[in-house]
Amino acid sequence: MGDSTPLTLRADLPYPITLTRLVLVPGQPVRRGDRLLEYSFLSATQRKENEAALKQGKTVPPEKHKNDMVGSWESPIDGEIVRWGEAAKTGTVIERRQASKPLVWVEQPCTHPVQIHGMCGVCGADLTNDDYLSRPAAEEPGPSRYPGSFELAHDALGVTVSTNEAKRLETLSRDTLLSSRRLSLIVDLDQTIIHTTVDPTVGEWMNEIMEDEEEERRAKEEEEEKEKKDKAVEEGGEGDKSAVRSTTPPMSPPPKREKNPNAEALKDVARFQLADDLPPGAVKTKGRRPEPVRWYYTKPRPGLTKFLSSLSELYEMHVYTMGTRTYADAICRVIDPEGKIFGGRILSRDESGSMSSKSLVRLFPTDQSMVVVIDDRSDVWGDCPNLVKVVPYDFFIGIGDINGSFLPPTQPAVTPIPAAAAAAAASSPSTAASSPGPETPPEIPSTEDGLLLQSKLLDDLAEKRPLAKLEEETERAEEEAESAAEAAEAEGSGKPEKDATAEPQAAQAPAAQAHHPHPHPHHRKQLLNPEDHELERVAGILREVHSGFYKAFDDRVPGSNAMPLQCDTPLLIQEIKDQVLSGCVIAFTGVIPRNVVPERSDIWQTAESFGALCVHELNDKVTHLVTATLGTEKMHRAARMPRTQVVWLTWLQTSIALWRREPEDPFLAHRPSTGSGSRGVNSRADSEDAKQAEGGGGGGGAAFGRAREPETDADGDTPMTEESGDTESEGPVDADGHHVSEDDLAQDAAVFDAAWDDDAQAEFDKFLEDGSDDDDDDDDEAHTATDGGDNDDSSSDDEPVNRSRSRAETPSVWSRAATPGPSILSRAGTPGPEQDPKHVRYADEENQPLESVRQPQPGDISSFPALPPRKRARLLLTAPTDDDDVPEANRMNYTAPGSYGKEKGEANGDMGPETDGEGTEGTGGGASEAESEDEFAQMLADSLAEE
Amino acid sequence: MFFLRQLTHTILLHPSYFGAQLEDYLRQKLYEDVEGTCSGKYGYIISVVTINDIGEGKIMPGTGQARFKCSYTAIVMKPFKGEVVDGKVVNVNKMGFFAMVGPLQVFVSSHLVHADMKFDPNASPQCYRSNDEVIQRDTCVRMEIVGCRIEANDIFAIGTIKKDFMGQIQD
Repeated sequence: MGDSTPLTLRADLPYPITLTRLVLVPGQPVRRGDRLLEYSFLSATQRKENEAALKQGKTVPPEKHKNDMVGSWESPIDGEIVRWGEAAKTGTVIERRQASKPLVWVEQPCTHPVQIHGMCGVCGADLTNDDYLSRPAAEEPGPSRYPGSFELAHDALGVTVSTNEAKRLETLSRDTLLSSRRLSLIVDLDQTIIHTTVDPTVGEWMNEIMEDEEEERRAKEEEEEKEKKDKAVEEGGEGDKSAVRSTTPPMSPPPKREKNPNAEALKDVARFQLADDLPPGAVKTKGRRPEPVRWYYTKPRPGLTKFLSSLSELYEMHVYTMGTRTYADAICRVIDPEGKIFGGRILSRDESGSMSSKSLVRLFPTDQSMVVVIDDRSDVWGDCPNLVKVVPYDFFIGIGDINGSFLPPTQPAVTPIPAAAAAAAASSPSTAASSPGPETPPEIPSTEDGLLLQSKLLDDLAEKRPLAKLEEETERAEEEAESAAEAAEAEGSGKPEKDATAEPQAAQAPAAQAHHPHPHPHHRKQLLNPEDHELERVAGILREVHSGFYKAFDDRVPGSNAMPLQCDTPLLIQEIKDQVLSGCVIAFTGVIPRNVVPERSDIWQTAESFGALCVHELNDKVTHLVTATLGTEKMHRAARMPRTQVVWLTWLQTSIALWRREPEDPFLAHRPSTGSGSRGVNSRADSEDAKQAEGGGGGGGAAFGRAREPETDADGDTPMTEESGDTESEGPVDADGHHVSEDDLAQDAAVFDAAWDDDAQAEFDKFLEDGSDDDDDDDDEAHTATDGGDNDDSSSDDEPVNRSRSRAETPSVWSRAATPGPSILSRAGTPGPEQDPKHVRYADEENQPLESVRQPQPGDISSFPALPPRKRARLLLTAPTDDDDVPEANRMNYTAPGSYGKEKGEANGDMGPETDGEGTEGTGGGASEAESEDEFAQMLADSLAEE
Repeated sequence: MFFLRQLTHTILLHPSYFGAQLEDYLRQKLYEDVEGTCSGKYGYIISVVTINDIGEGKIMPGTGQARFKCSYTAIVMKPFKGEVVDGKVVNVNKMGFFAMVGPLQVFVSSHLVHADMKFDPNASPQCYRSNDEVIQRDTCVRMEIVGCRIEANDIFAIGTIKKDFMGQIQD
């Protein structure tokens, strides 16, 4: 059966050996362990003796060079000898390097092409003999212990196949695919086509929505009932049959509580429990099974059904996930209830054999030319050319990939758009909550740790409820903003337009109700955003690859059996990628760290893989200068080059993420030569910003997020000065933890003055008029900014300064509409008109603590996280010193009579940690602190006395 | 193949169970402990038919637990090479299919199905198909066991349907 198997000498024989006798002749049957040939060799002891003798200068008699030992080589397999190799002759000396040549061919009755549980799947022979004959095979690398075998099936049923069999099966499946004109598509689950969370808040919301619907339905029924009765009365008893239909639409009574605004987004969220998902520490006991504790909530990516159904005609779909088998099955029941699309082609963590990487060879051992992979993470695939990376789907904010705990956290540097950065921050366990003390180390856990860690992470997640927290915070921010707005109105200086900006969310949320007559003091915000168009984009790419493949296939030379060269998905994918940035000549500035060889940096290589030409130095041919900072030498030079456009790094990243060359305009970094103009815009924007900050409640985080984001100004200008302001002032602040250094301020002030023109003056005057209420808002804004954050009084120290100085914002909140293309720039929760800057703020502040956390000083109680956040926030509002560039209006309100002088006096001196955060309420806070300390001391004394 | 066998099982009982209900508890524990288990030596213990003797409990020094040596008669199932069994298909892939014969899992490789039967990956669910037969999930098949691998607590078997009167059971 089958062709003969070549056998080679084992590598551990005492080479060189001299063949002395071939025991068997062709045609003879051989059994495992039968002697095939005999050989002789020089024993190690004799050789050592000879060498020693040679060293001493003695001559070794020739008989000592002769082989003095004999051995034999046994067959590792059963079968029949077909023929001996050419080298197999009596007297041949075989060196170690020649050992890999086959010496004898044996025809086996069964080559054991399929193996399962240590048993041949064809003849049922036991293959687990673990003796000296099977030893070399056991040491061979590979998923299975059998020589040349692969694990091919999707499931963990333990079937492995030999290389030949794998090739045969692949040819079979290739023919099937070709005949049905399809390709293979490997789909990742988490964050690629779905997003799953364990946050119980989602469940509560869903229950809420369900109850609401139930209520509505009941109300409707009642209405109909009433209608029916009315009609029946009207028609005098005979209306029973005719009165079924009611003509007027039933009016639902106003719901008792406000409808959950996330209803739309949560509509198709499925929930399930996993049977094997036991509480940590629980042992599976027979008979009494502990109840699974956790509910999972899964949101299919918008357009998923269409994506799957339309692409399943072009692709044979496989699932390859890092989740467990039960999880993968549960998800597939959700997204593919009939099993038509995936049909059991599911590969999960349990079977893949690796917790941290995915491999195509696992599914397609020999031929990967018809496979396309879609995944949100490229790092797990290594350098897989079949991969089409998709933008991660982050629907449930702050969750990340629940099955990704084995992987290193995603690098924000890869896509430092606020959404991705926030997602990355949230996905790393240490920053999942904004607690300053990270309990879990962020490095990659080992497998056994990973399992525990994941369980812990999920528990943490369920406990901390990032969504509920987010909602709460949003509400609080909103409340404060609203109260501020009301206060402003009471003062009579509130403008109508201000109202509109104050509640952009309420106006835009789908479940929005008229905001002022509303009985509730607050509006519930839509936190979850149902919009996402990523799948449409991916489907487009996949269709292109498919059509490219089969176009090449149809054009093949008729009659020839070989596949055309063009029929290769990695090649096709690369071709599509090449077109993205073709023609772009890119130079970098401030992007690649100095200690990295530019050619080897990720961004360089990625840009080149998308068809761009990267160069070191600026020259005439450079079309794009990609920058991460302002004011570099290259930028100045590029400003004088007509062909060169200076764009933010985000342009490149967005283009790469979307596989489409983005228009440069929204990403243009302002040129240093046009600095004065944009400064003017900035200063004018100050006032608007103050207004807007109140509406959005966007604190430092939002500012942070926006600062990273190029924004289109109303004038089409791109103000980016804030970036420089931030970077200039933040460094020293973080370093000494006290104040912005004087030099920086002076420098900034100089820039500020230089940029001051008539336009700005007009804006400034206008701003002064609204000053009285605006700074209230600023006040609130600062609260919210620091509420979410940690004890980073250092960052908030400079926050008001920065904000009042150089924030450049248009009245319209930055939104997806501002940049073309699907929303990857906004996190899932925030694109579109209903975008909520507060989310951005929240998420980005998650990012911040790591940078700005500092060691608490001995007397630094005011910065301790245990303090109530509100109080802390108040404290953080430092009074500006004379050196600060604070507009006049603000200054008047900020400086409380007592503390202003104090601050002023100590601003230049060495400020103690106590005064560091002292503001208008500083003394009050300090007093209460002292009181509580006294209390504690009293208690301690009491307890001591009792003893 | 099924056998009726007399087997013994040792039960250790905690002192808190000593009382009037002791015998009931022992019986219940015996059923719980042995039914549905598999031993390489006897095969799958399908069902306990009778409990012949629960023996005299002997208190173990030190722990205070009582040890009962129960002897019982049970129906056991042990597969043998060459045996023809009926099973239900649970999983089909391109390498073959898996069928369950009661508690025993049997793998039938694609090499051991009729030559005219081809794997059809596009069908939903996937199946092996010939002109007159379809083998897919939940199909009843008759197969011959080619080999068994018996481990201490588990048994696997390889089957073939490449023989006369094997394959899908049509009724």
